[in-house]
Amino acid sequence: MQQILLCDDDLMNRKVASKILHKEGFCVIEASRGNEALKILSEHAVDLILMDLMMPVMNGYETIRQIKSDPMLCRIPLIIISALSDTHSIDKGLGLGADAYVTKPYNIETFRRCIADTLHAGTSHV
Amino acid sequence: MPAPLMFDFFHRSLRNKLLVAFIAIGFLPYLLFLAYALLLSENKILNKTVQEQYDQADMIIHVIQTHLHLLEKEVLFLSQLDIMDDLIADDIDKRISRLLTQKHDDYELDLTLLVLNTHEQVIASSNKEMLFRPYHLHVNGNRSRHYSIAENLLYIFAPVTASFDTQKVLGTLVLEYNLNNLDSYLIHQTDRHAYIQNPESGISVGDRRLFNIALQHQKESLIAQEHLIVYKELEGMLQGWYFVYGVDKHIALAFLYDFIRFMLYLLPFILATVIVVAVRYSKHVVKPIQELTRITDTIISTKNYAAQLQVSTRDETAQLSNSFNKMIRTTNEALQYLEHENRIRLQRFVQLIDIFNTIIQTKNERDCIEVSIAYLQELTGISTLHFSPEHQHCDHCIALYVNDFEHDNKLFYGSISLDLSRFSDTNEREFYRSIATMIMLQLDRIRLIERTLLASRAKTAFISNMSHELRTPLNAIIGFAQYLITYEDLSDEQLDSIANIESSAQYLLGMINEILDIAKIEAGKMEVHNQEVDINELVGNVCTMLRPLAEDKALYLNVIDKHYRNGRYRTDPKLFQQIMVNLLSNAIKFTQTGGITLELSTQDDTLVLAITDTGIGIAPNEIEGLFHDFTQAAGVMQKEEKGTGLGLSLSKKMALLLNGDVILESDGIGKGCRAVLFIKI
Repeated sequence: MQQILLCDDDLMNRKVASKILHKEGFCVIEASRGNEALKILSEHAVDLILMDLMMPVMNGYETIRQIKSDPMLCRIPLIIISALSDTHSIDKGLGLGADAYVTKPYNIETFRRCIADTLHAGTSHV
Repeated sequence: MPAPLMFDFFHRSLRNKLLVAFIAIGFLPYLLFLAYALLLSENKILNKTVQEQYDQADMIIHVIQTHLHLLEKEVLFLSQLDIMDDLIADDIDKRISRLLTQKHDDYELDLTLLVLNTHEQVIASSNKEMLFRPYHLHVNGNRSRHYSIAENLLYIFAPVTASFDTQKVLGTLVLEYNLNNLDSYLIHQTDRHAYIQNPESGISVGDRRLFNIALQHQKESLIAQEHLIVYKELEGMLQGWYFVYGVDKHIALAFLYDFIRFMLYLLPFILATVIVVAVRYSKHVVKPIQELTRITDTIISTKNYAAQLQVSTRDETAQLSNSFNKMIRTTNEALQYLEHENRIRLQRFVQLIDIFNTIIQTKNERDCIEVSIAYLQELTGISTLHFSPEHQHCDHCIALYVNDFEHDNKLFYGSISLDLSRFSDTNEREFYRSIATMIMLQLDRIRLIERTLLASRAKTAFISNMSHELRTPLNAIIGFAQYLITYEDLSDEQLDSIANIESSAQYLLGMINEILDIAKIEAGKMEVHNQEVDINELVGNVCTMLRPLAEDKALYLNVIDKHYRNGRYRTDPKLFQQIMVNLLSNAIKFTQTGGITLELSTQDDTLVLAITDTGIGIAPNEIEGLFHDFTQAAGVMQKEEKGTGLGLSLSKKMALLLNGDVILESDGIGKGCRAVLFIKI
């Protein structure tokens, strides 16, 4: 079973995403802060990271930068799930090495397809 | 010369006045002298001349009288000779005759000497033919006078007495004298002439042809035609005779006429001299004035105040010239001083502008103060001049104040240690005060810019945060709703309710997006990303996206691109599509039957997209209002077909961002509507 790290400071958003992912057959590890996510990543092997951007303590950008600068983690597929919809944020996020950018609120269909596509691209690449 | 011209000649020139005055003054004595000579001297000279003629006449008369007197004496002498005793014999006496002849010959005159006896017979004579002839002695009046005149003969006689008895008269000695002899004493010249005349008998001696006048007793002189004539009655033997003496008038009055001629000859010389002197002197007098005028004109035309008059005399004109020179010198000095002042002021002004330019370019308060202090140190030469944020002894420094924009009053900012009272010149103080004012204005400006920037940033952050914060809970709502619909096995009623939640959330999301877009445009934060696009493809995408909505309502959706010139144009595809979606979804939303025609065309550099529907239409007076945010939208929102009321307004704003516009046309309620999008491509 593939493990997905879901990092979001909003409990409701974590809950809905977690429910969907369970239904899709993934094992979900939740984190509410960037630093929490990094701690989990250092302890667990993860197949996909879903990362929010606007978070207290350590935001998404910083977290992504640290993940991508870590050779052990930099190859893990990463999708940004953020309520920031402006081009600047999208460009910045993708520029840090994220594989996809999904704006909230998302449609389940879009969400599912994006995860599937990213995982598929990651495995075929490897 | 006509009178006004002469008047003009006299009044237009000081020199002409002087000329006239000099000529008048110089010529007047001559004219007076001439008039005196002509009017008064003529009489005097005439009188004098007449007197001279009298003197001349007297002299001649005296000579004649003396001559006759001598003859008389001779007669008397001869009558007393002893020889005369021979007369007693009463016959011809040869001895006496011999004596008389000798005497006669001595005289060489036309005269006859004879001796009469008591019987009046000639017994002795110088003329032999007369001997012993009776002789009538013409004695008019008494015999005691011893002379008488008959015709032109003068008889001088003396009784001859016996030497032994003087009482015994022996006879008479007679001298028969022809008065023509006197002719030799008279003057017979061409210019002067004399004769004697007896007016009673009309007999005269001398030539009377030159002038013949009727003698009158009353007057003794007269001027007859060409002559000045004087006459005098003679005395003694020639009593009853007149001496007439005439002089050619031209000779007599020669002096007078010579004088007048001389004066007339002199006239041109005097006139010439007077004119030359007048011209030269008036020139001399007027020259400094002319020079003054010339210099003044030169100064006026060249603006050269360094010009000075040459002063060569020491008179009033020289004083005037000196005063003028002094005035010009003073004016020139004043002008130069002003020019100098002006130059300094201009330099100060340029400096001030330079300083202002530098100060105005400073980006923050620290730079502004530093630059200003550096300038002030350089300008004043006070190296200790500094800025202090503290209150100093502000009598000796310039206090800086800035605007407190929030409370609309002034705040103390700091002070510059420059004592303005050290400058005596008001301009200097004003200069530094201007710099201080400039510093304060720039501080205000910097603060205002910073405030504006801050406000702008805050607005942007607010929009961004709002967007994020509103979307986050919406994500959970939509997510849970879709989760239930997708994964849970629900009853139809439950499904319907959940679907309502989901669509309401989607509607809310749309509204939030539109509000945020409008806020973004108004804040100037909406970014336009122009790129080369295929318009047909964009239109196709939108149509594909919205066609299901039209088909749900059984509406047709036709696309016509009759006048469309195909090509790749530059515009922002995202905004273009967003506008088109808004307009097309509006058209579908407000149309129940019929359908929508989409017409694509190009006019020059403008793309025109017209969306015509057969929908409910709009009252013409409401069209304008539809472009306002919310305000007019309220009416629409109450109707069945919901809309945010922001769609048209947002579309127009976006079209403006793309250098285009959106207009709405309708023939009225129920007659459909036509929305047209213009975009510069």
